[in-house]
Amino acid sequence: VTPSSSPGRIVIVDDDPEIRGSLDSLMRSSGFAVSSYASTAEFVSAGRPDEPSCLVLDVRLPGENGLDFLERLADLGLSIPVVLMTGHGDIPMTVRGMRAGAVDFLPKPFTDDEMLEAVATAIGRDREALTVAAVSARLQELYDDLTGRERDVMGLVVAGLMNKQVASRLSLSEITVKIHRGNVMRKMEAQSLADLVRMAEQLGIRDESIRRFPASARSEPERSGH
Amino acid sequence: LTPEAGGAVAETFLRNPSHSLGPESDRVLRHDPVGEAETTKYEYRYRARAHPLTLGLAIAIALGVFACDLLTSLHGAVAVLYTTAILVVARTNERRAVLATGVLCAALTLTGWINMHWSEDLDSAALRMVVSLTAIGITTVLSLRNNSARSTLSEQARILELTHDTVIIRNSEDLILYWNEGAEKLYGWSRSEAVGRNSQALLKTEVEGVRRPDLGPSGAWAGEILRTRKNGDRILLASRWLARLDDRGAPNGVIETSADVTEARLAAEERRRSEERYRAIFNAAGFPIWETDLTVVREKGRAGRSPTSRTYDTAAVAERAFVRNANDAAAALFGLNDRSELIGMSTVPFYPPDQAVALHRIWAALESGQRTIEQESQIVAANGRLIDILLQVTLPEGEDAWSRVLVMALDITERNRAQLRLAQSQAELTHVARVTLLGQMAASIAHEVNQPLSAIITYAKSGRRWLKQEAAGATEVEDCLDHIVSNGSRAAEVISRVRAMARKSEPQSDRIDVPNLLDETIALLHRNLNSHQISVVITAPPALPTLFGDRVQIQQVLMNLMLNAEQAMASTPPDDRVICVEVSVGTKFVSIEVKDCGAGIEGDPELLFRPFFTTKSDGMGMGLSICRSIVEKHGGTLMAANEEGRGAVFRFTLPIANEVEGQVS
Repeated sequence: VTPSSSPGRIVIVDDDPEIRGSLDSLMRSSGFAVSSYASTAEFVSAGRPDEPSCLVLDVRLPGENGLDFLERLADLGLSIPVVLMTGHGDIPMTVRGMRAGAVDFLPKPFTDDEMLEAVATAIGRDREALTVAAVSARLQELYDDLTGRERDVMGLVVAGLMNKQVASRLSLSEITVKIHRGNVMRKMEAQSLADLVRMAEQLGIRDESIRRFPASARSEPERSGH
Repeated sequence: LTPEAGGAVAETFLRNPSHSLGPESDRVLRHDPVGEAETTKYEYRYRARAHPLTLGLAIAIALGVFACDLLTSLHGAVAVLYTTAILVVARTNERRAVLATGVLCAALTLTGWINMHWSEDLDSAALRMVVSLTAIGITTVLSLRNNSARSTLSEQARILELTHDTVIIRNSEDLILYWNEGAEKLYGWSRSEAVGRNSQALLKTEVEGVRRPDLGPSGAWAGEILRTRKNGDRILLASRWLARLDDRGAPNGVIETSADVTEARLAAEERRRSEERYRAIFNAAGFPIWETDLTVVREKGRAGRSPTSRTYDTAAVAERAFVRNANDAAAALFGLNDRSELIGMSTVPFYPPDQAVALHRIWAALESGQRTIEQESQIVAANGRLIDILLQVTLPEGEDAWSRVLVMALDITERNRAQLRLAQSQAELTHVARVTLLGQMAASIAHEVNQPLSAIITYAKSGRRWLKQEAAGATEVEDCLDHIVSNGSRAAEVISRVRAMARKSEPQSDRIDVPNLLDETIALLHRNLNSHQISVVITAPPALPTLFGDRVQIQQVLMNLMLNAEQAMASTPPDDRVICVEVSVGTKFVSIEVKDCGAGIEGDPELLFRPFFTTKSDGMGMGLSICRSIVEKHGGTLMAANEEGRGAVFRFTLPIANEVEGQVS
């Protein structure tokens, strides 16, 4: 299943089986796949699904409450969009929830449209995130295929150096640099230099030693700021 | 001596019975030859019975007369002198000696006559012999009669000596002639000191101011006199005086007998005063008292009551149980103007028919031997007012106790009303506390209702979506509908639970099933406990007796204790937050313990039960005080204590009611 083809999976965490059951039914009637858990611990041990997902999380839970868990999600290495729901939400709770990155905060009882809309938004975000993650993973794969010398050449090329400058930096002939550059373009499946620069940005491999202006000149305004 | 003279001697004894002659201490009456009849003196002489000298003297006299008869030729009835010997022997009081002397004298007379005049014709000598024999016979008979009279006299004389009363005989000049032992003891003067003295000078008699009472034509007087004793005390005597008559029947002094009544008079006076005091208290007492005759109850208890029914015939008692005495307060209680209206009638008709039970209880208690009975009852006063009374019935000591049963009554109408008002305000306070308690849980209760509602809405929406889909539909929709129903009833349940707690109603007596009560209470607190991560551990024996009481109030107690426990554990680490509810069964009580793992109670745990005592910033401090009054009203106790190293323990007990009792109340 690829991120783009699946309708998405809804993960429900609520201690009340009736709430879980009703959400399960609602989500399935709208075409989502559903996993439901009575506690956050159960969810953590199961891990997040691979497909685009959304966590529908009850704030009031026995043990760790929903908001605390939300704030801990990143530390747990779980990245999943969250829709919070609560029996009686107050403003501070809502603010805290949104600041922690919740997609939406729904007070019970909510309408099906509200819930489905929130879930759809969250799934959309997750799908995007998954796509981005998938692209980055492909680029990394391609980059991993490059030889050491090719990586050096790519780093200097995307920094904007001419072939001649690259050759002199690496103590290579200009011809050799051209061959390496051609290999890089082919292996990275880059259509143009601009394409390659964007990929390098994504991979974060720009050679930091290349500076158009002296480092001291750049840090001037910072100093004057003090 | 003629036979007449002997009779006169005997008569003297008979006429003066107080001239006592006892066998042990015979007093010899001796006529003073000088002093004439009225200056008779009494001399006392002790002697042995049948004195040998007396007998010797008699024999000597008899032999002397015999010798005279034989040896002299006196032409007279010398044999008549034998009577002297008989009279001498008569003093000994020996009947047989007297008789023997008589026979001997007669024999000697006959012997003398035969000896001297046998050969002669029956002449004057024979006549003299017959006269002598007759004199001897009469003297013997009279001596014997005198003898028996003397025995009777001595008996009477002994009684006179033994009596505690004083006996004094005075002559017409008020000189004391006789003074008995009673007089010696009472007045203090001995017989020898008193006899011959002037009685007025000695005793200073006073009769209501008069010097001496007039005996009047009847010759008798009785009354009280004041006299002085030897030691100077004035004493009061009850005295009877009798005129003493001389041989011609003319008054000749006084015989009087008196008894000291000083002590008796003082005691009587004291009794009278005590009686007066009692009467004053009785009449002036601010509360109703009456004395009633319940003899009939005792009789009815024996006869008029069938042994099987063991009831009294109230009407029969009412007819005869009358009030002997009552004070004004009692009359006022019964709505009467004066106590005289109450005296003589029965109080039973004042009791309405439904109070017969109370009366029967009192009567039965009295019959069973109880001396004091307290009983609440009601009367309808004459003015129609219904009055609650507290009766205290006392059976006095003594023989006729049942005829004067003392009843005290207290009008407790006001007190009962006040109690009723107090009970009402207590019920209101209890209700307020309960609502406050519910208020504390408002958030979690709202959540409890909101959850199923939320589920219902979601299921409904979901169902509609399933309907739109052509496949899959039916079973999913059915599932949704089922859940809507179950969640609906779940919400309804929560609401009815809350409403039961919020209900304001008179205290009821329900059957309480303890495990069920615990479940219900925990269901209400479920959310609260969950969100504070508190687990509840219940330990209870498998079979618990049913309790009777107001279910809601008992639940209130349990809820209050559990909420307190929950709040006490706010700073306890979540893993340690446990409330233990332990149920145990004793012989008479079921005890329920609520233990927490909090910090425990600071200071005296009893303080917690004081009204307005609180450890919480937002607490009113009424919760536990009300809990205790609820439990106590149910006949149990509520105590608090610290459990070493753990937290606080609240323990309450409820009595195990037996079925019948529970249903009656």
